[in-house]
Amino acid sequence: MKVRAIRIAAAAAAVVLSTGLLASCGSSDPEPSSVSADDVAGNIRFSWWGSESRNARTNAVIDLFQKKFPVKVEGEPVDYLKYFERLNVQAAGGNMPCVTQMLTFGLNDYASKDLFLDLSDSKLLDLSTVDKGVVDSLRADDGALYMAPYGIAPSVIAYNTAMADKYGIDIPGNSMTWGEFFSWMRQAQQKLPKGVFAMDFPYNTPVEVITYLGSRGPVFTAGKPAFRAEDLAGWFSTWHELMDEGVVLPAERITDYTGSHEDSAMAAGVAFASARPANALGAIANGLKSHGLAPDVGYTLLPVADDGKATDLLPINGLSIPKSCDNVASAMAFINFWINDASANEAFAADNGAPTVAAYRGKLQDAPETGASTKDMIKVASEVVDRGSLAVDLPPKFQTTFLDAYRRVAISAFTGATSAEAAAEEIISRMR
Amino acid sequence: MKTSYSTTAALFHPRPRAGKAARHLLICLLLIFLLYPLAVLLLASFSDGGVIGSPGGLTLENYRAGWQGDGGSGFGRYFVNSSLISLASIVGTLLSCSLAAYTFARIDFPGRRVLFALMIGTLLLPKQVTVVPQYVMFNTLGMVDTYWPLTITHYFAVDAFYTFLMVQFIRGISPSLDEAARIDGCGHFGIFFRIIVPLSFPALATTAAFCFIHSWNDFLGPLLYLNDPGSFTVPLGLRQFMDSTGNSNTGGLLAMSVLSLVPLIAFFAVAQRLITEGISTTGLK
Repeated sequence: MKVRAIRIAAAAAAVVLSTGLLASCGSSDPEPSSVSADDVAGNIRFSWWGSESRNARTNAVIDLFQKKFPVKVEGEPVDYLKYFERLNVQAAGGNMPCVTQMLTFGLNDYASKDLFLDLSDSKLLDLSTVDKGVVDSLRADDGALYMAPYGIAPSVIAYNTAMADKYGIDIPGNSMTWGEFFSWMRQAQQKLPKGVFAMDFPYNTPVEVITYLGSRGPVFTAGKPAFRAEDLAGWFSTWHELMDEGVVLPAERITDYTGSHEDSAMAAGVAFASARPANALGAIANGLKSHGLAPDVGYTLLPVADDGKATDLLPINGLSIPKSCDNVASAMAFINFWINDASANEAFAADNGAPTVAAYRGKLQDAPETGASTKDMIKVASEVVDRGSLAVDLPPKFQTTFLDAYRRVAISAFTGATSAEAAAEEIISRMR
Repeated sequence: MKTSYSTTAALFHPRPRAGKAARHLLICLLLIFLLYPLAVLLLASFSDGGVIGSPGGLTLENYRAGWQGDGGSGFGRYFVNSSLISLASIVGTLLSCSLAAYTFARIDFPGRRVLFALMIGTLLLPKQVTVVPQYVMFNTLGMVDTYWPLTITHYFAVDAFYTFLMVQFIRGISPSLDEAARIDGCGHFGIFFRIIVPLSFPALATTAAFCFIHSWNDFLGPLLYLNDPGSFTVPLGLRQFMDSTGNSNTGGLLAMSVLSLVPLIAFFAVAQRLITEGISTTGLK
């Protein structure tokens, strides 16, 4: 009897579990176009990456939203490095939050698995206010939009203003070519004291390498690499030469500095310049201050192609709605509030990139309480949007193939441990 | 000849006092080497901005700001949450693993060896393999964003290491005590609670210590299963001070890291004798 009872209990447990799983798999996708304002109610979960200061600002926006709508927003903050680790497990379990923060590099990794709703056609989400170029740069091949953009964070060449003044380093304009940039670094190194390097390695983000490849031709086409192997090899060999010449931070010192902007070689006063996202200018200034150095950070835009054409890859932070969301109307209303509401933009204060609505960029730029580094970031974003960004069709698994491979191979290639040609081939073959 | 022999012996057998001093010196050097990171952590936690030698000098500000925590929760709440989870995990582990260990060590039932081998085999299973299926299961059961996924598994003797540790200990207790108890009318539960548990105190203390350290330091479990910042544990709370894409509170992180070590050190200090006894009697290295 006992054995039979155990078998029945085990079978019942299996049925309950499998029914639940099948139910979650078999549910039909919600239609963003069919939701209405009357449906905005209930609870939604919202996950984002950030630390204390960003969490406080995000919570302020949530409070404003909750005062206006009968919706309870359950915030789920975590830091950037762990955010995607958790999101991957949530995605596998069909339990992603209704409003999921996303960024350009990771978007296609999730969208290609059919996890997100197409936000192009929704009554509750107005994206006509957002820069058209920004929205279009996020569209998939079929025109679908899987992320509503709210923060633009273009990369710049940040530099230490105090060092530039002290050692008489001239700052080039925003239209320097890549060749002029490398020459500038070599000239700066001649003026810098021993122990300070003109640059640190650009291995942490793909923005610089893709902007460089874009200046030489198409980068990706139809989800496949379209750049030439010799161009990528040229990128690696140039940085290797600069390291040999003592212009960039030596390889053995890379691990002295963590990936965070506040602990970077530039923030420690060891590197004069660094390619960093514009929304990191404030963090670098804080890092300089904590090292007892003047917190003055200047910037110049990323170099352009030889013909003067700008090819910036534009990193954009946005909000997506998973297909597993059971309250699409409230999620839409929340995203719309986040992007289009004046009080929300004021409360968030461009903490994770410049607003995608030009009017709010102008408002924050004019507000006396906006910090200097935030104003710089907003100015950069406007300049980059105005000069035209590179509408790169990032392939599916971009983050898990190109970016991971690049980070792994880059240091090896920069230091000469792997030949530039072999490193380029490895990345291309990994993507294939 | 005699003198010559004594000289040779003295060369090969230096005076005990000198040898002892050399050993102590070596141990002291090793101790300095081991404590160096902790000393740096401690000093940095009292330094302005968490940077040793910063112009601001020494300050308690890191502890004040860190204790306030994120989002108004206060770091004290994370300590309470971690303590609750650790306590529930210890109770579950001690109850379930000791019962499972008694079963394997004392009861002769069909398939015992195979089941024991299977249990030991689970030690070889990487945790990453079970992360997603376990998450799917707890999500289906509606237990995500509760403490259940972090505690309930401990009540099913799933920690093979602890069960194995106690099996080894119980096997060292003379079976004649069980037989005497059985003659006096005890069943399995009577033998377990009246004979085995009181004699297994060192092994139970060792298990409790390891379980506490594991629960207190666990990061992945709370990261996946706890969404509400109000329910965060200490490791998740510490992570809130850092973000590679924005501003970090390094001083607060270091100060709260120091405080997060206090319960571990206190637990070890209180249970030190039992833990070392348990380790020495279970054959654990």
